[in-house]
Amino acid sequence: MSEDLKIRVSREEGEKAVFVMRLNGSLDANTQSALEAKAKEAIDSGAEYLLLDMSAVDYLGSAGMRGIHAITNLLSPDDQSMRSDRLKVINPSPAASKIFKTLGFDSFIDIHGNIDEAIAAL
Amino acid sequence: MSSFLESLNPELRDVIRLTGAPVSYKAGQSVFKYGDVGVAIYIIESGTVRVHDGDLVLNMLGNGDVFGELAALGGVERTASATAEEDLKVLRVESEALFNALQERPAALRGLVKMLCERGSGMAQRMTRRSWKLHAAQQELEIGRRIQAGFLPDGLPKVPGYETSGHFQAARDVAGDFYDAFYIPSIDRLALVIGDVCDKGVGAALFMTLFRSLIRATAQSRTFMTWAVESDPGKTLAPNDLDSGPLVDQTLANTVALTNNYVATTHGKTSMFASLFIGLLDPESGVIDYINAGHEEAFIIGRNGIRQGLPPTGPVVGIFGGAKHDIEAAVLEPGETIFLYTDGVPEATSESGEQFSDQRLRSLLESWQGSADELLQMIVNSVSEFTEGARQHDDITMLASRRDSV
Repeated sequence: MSEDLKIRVSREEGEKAVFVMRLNGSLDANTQSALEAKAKEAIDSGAEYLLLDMSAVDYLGSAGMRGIHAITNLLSPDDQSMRSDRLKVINPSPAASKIFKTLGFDSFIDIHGNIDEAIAAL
Repeated sequence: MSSFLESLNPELRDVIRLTGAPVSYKAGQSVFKYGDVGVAIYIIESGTVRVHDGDLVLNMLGNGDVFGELAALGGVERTASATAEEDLKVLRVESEALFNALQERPAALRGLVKMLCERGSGMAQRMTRRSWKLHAAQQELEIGRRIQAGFLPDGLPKVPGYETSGHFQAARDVAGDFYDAFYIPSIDRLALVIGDVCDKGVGAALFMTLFRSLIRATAQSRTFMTWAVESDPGKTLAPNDLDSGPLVDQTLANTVALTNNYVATTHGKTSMFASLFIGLLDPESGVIDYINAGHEEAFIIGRNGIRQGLPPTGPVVGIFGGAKHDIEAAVLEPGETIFLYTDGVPEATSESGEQFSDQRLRSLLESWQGSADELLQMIVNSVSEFTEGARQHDDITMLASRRDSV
């Protein structure tokens, strides 16, 4: 069930198929599958790049990070490199930022201050 | 004739036909919702209906089936929702109209009682079958739990001059956390390991056994491989005959690299990873060479509280193949304790939803003087007092080793 996480998906204007997913709430063992399902929906409808706006994520658990990694696998199923070029994180909350850093995900997934900055880096 | 109507006595059948009215629903349209007070019985003439509680589908019913009868006849709240799965035609019988019609027809009333008893008895039979299935599943889980418990150390190694203690408390039947402590004779080091596999439940438990086994097997590979030749695990390379320094770093680097790269290349698609702290303690000097792979900071506790934190030196293991982990060193002075834990400790949640927090854990560590065993016991007591009455959300795992004072 995804009662504790709201996910809003929108497509950005521009040449590249960039979708923004705005997360609000808690990304954990109970909500990660909802995030994965929404991401899959976006990818099925043409998304090539996903930007995760995590400014309103008040809790991020390791299961949530698993969900994020699963999305990078969905975006680049054949990519053997460790870095994810198609998924970027926007403006993570202090709670989310801390987990990214502790688990070392910040070395593999780019974190940007805002959407424009992230799109410029694609 | 539909099968539900067929099963009724002719008098009741006539009453239902007389009082019922045909109603149609489009696919996806709700017939009634969980919690609504029941006012009507529905008999399907064509199409299918999904009986569900949110996303959980309890039953799919089709042509000739009846639904909604218990809440309608009892005038109580619906215990599930009903939604047209495909375009649906039903005979809708309002319970009030039915009761009115039954007043003059005792034979039909008798038919209704019989119908309810038959359905009640059928439900009881299904419940019994379900209980047996649940019982079997619980037994399987219990077997899993017992086997998994075998992946934690039976007892902790007794190294002269050190006292080591571990604590493990699973949130569910099976767990993703683990700790380990074992002596590696070939390099004369005590390995101290704690790990936390992401996510929960059976999936995390399976990966816990994989991570733990890879770490133990790789860290002790020299011992195990020499054993095959020497047939005596104790008679491996004599540590005093060689400079074990480079071997220690090699053991650490190999253990983390092999574990990480094996899981990333073999199981990378599952996105399962573990955070991990592995320290190799030299009993003589107290030096601990360690890798912290995306795990909570470990602490060295001295006479005046926390003397040093040992933060991550690289990312989690299992998904980033080829990732680099730095090796760092710390010293455990006489009388000091190294304390390893998983996030289940600070994130233990009280009944009111408050977390135990890093601050509370730190303040316990800051004021600590005593044995490793007492330290863990004090934290366990403090956490269980804090969380009294609440459900345990995450595994709680700790490992501590104290160097004797001189």
